Amino acid sequence: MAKSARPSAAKPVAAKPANQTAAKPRASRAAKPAAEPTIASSVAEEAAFALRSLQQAHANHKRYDASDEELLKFYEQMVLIRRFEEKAGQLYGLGLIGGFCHLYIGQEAVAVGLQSALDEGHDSVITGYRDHGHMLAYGIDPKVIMAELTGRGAGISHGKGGSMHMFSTEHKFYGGHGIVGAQVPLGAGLAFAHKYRGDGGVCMAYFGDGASNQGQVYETFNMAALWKLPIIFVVENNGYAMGTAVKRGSAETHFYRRGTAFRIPGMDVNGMDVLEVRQAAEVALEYVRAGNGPVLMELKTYRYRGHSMSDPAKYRSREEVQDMRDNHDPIEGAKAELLKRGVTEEKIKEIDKRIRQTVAESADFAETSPEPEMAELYTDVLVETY
Amino acid sequence: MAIELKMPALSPTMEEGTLAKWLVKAGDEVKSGDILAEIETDKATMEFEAVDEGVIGEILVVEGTEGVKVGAVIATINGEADDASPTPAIEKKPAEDAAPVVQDVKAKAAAAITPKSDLKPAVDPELPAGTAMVPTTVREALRDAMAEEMRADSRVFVMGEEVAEYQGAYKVTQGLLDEFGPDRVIDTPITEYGFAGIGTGAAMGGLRPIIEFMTFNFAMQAIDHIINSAAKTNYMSGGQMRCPIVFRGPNGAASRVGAQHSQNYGPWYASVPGLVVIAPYDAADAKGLLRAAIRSEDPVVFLENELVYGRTFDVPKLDDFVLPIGKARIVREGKDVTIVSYSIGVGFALEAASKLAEEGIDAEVIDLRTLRPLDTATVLASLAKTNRMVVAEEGFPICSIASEIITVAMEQGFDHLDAPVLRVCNEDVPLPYAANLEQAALINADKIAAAVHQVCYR
Ligand SMILES: Cc1ncc(C[n+]2csc(CCOP(=O)(O)OP(=O)(O)O)c2C)c(N)n1
Ligand SMILES: [Mg+2]
Repeated sequence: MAKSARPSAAKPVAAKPANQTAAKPRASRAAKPAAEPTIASSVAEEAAFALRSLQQAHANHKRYDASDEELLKFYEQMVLIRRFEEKAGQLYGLGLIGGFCHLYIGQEAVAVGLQSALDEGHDSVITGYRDHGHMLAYGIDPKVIMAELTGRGAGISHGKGGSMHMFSTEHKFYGGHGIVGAQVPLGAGLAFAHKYRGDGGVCMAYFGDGASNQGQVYETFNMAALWKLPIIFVVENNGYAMGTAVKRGSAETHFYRRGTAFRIPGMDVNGMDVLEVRQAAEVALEYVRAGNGPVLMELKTYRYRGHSMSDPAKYRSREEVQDMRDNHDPIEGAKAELLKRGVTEEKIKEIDKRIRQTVAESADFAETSPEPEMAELYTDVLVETY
Repeated sequence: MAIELKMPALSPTMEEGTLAKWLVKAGDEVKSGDILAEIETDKATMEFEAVDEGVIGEILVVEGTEGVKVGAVIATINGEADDASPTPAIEKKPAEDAAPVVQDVKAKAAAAITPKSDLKPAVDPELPAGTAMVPTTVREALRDAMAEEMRADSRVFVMGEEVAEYQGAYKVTQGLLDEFGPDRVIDTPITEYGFAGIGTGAAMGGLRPIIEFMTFNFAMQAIDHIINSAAKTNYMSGGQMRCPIVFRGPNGAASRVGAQHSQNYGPWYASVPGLVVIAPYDAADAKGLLRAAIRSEDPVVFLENELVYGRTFDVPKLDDFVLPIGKARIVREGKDVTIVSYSIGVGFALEAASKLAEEGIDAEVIDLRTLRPLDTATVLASLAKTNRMVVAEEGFPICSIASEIITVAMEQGFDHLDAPVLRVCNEDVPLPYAANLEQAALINADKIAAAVHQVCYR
């Protein structure tokens, strides 16, 4: 309902409300509700409604003002994800990785741009089964990720989870979930815990365009908005849910609008430009950290590879994929920008080489480290003994 | 330095495939992401992309070659001299991967048709003499069952994720969209709870929906409608509100897809009054029972198995091949011990039985086929004959179908028992991903044979 603290559309909400500190989001409750709107005033209210204010703030200042160092770091992280995923694809083809393996190639700017704005180890991150990139972007060691993919004892889940089920409570990375949509309420639960403890942390919950149609997403939207949970819902719209193009599965294809019914402000973001992504994250985080409740971001992105390793890819043309690779690649984009800024080709090559080395080492580690001990089969089912 | 390009595994269960088409030739320059070839598996055609940069050296497997083993070298790439990109993974692979590539297309094609195993159960006895048998995969048998029922009854439609344009995530609905059109073969968004409810409502409204779950793991999102809406309404309405619906899809462990994607829901659904639960093993049963399920006036949960989809069995060529629901089948006769199983477990039980035969133990194998209602008469008759029993089930041991069979043996077959009935189930843990742990957790023929030795005291 109407709230006196709501900023006008003209003024980006992100800057307000100033009286609320991140650590005490409950302060917003103190704001006195305005009188119930009449029918006439409700129209005006819609115009002033905050739903579009974040989008506006983002439009006013699209790209993050990164220093050369920062941009180099983003570049490095994206290249790490790209090379890691290429290697994973290769190991899968060799039979060293089994089961389902979903690659993040093409979507690198999303995880890197968003998570670079988070406080790693404090803010929570949760996603689905396409999780390697989010882990790498949160500084988790590629070795233990790759070793999990090959099902080895040294893997981050001791080989018991696999590609889709990896976690690091140390980094506050909460998975790694195989059931489409399940991570959304779980993410709201993580946000609930942040708010409950008053630790000022937020949760970033990623899900796909396909996952956006699960009912539990909307149950979560309602509660997250109702309780002003500190969560950023991130729809990674890569155009397809397996073989289903967005328009064949979704009545409302502008996912950022899907929070409207719950009064959650939406943001429509170009997910192929790491600086645009990062700037959008700044806007959203400021709003959420100020205790205003959730934000829904749609990141337009693209996956170059099949849904998983076994994907006939008959649902899109080669030309479409090639066009994205040639003209919208986030890594090539960042590289071009670096060169334009006068960073030398040599420096970039040095990064590329270092990453290749890191990835080769992680693959080596993942291949040579032993399978889990047989006793691992029975551990971790329950914590206590009864 | 030449990099060997190997036949890739494109799915967890792929062992070999057809090299359908080369899109490059020797001497072509390629870069990462270029499509090199099209590869066909029993499920689909897939594109094989380059990961490395360089120039194609030699094409070692000509296009059109069938049965190319995963890991076989199919071509070489000469990498750029200065590109020291380390690819130790490739070089280090043991030589066993370089399986000889057969270039004789015809010879390979013939080999490919032969069923993977000779564990074909005896054919149902009630068939008319001289009935022709057609080798059919379980996948095709299920599709044929749906197609035949859809031709016969316009109320029947199929709904689920990727069932239409994609031809089914596991290709079970292949070709149905072409024949029946988008009004009857319907792609849904990823909304299991929603479309299971819509299907249930449509059944209450007089239609005959077949709801495909991409796997039964995802039916947990929808289980409220299966149980609270579909199973109970007839009873609660005093017989007024029928719900003739089929919920079907793969169930149980696949291959290394982890705990959330590997569970057998047979015991869950079989515990619910108001449901019929079917879990066939071979192609003929899959076909005959799915047709029966679609015709049934009751809600049916029809549990398939991904690992069995590609197996070939004989299916009788009959116009109206429908099998009875609620009837188990003796798939191998024997006198020393009874092995009761269902779904993929039947394959393991038959394998165990042939091993045991070599050791002088003559095992009878029963395929339950229907889990609810259970055909206790067939199980008890066999027990009365052999006096010893083992239940083999690919699923958790606790509160399992095995538990139920053992209860039946205790309550109704106690006088016939010469030894305690044993169950051979998966380990009582969520299914792990690691290859060695997964193998240890799942049932197999050896574990069944060991239990048989135990109940036979030899
Ligand atoms: C509840 C549930 N239903 C179906 C699936 C099978 N499945 C796995 S991923 C996927 C597509 C998801 O697409 P999207 O949400 O767009 O994410 P993307 O794969 O594009 O990252 C489907 C249908 C599942 N894992 N869980
Ligand atoms: Mg998607």
